[in-house]
Amino acid sequence: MSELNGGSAVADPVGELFHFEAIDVTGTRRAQVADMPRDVPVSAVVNAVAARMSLPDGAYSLHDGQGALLDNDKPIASQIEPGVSVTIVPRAHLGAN
Amino acid sequence: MATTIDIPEASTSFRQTLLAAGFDEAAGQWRRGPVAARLEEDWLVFQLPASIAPGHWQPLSLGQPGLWKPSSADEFVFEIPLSLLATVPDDLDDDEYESSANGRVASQLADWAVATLDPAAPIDWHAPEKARVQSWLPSQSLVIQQNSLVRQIVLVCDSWRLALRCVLVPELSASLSPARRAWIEKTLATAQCRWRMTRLGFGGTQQKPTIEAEIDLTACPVVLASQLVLSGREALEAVARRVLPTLSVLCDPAVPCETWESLF
Repeated sequence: MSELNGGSAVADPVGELFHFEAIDVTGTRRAQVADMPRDVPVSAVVNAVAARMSLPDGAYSLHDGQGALLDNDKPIASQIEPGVSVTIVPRAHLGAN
Repeated sequence: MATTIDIPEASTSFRQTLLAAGFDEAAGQWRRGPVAARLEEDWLVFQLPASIAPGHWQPLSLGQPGLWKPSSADEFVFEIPLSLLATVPDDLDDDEYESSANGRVASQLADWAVATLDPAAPIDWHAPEKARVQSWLPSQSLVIQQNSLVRQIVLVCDSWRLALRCVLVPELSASLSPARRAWIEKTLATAQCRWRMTRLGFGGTQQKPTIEAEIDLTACPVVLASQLVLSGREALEAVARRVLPTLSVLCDPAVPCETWESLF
């Protein structure tokens, strides 16, 4: 019988949390984010950061310290170093629908 | 403790399902040993009186194999979505039903519930390959974003374990008062009773305690594993979305509330 039947062999599901600072494009709002799972894609992170900073409803993207756009589909921790600042920017839609 | 299960007008398919699963009807109750069964909306619910539940089943504890969990002070339940049972012609006699695909499924589900009653009982079971389980779960489906909060569902899959877990509170502050902790426990217990399949409780380490939700499918019928994993993921997301906003405030020591500082 496996040791699991005792109910104690549980993998640690917390993993490492990722921390960074988010700044809005005007530089007036900042949020320290310390509870982000490392493997979540930027698309989930950006929506949570916008809500945390009470930004108006809309679509946003994250840019790193050099202004490069973070890929929405990739994990946040694979694109920036812990502790760095990122900028949250409204997505501009130019031209007709 | 005596338990009364009311099945006002058990449908033919429900009766056949339970017969196939090894249950017998007596005095309006369906029983297989100590386990009773009932229908609740779209769920087949196995039930065990708390008075005879295994000693290691504590409220708000995590990690035990299977879906048993307390649903009230009086009983533990093991909840199965009826969607696992396909629609079958209603003109099958009992023997035909028992040998049908549905009859076999019902039997396997009941065997699973009974097998996970006893932590010491040997269970001849191996989890499906992790890569196979991962193929059922697109990575996006493992992320829960609820307003400002993001949480991740973690697949636990090794040879003897299959579970989905989600950390709701990554670190429970040691500075919370006993009264506040009691409110947290009450919140978790209430949510655990209300939401199907999911156990809620405390995990992590002594230095870094967490609050987690889990669906434990260990020892489940492997032929049903994909459907159970998908149902479990949905159940886990539903409860997480519901309790995350409350827990994020309740567990934040920076949020003062006089009511939470008094015991109910």
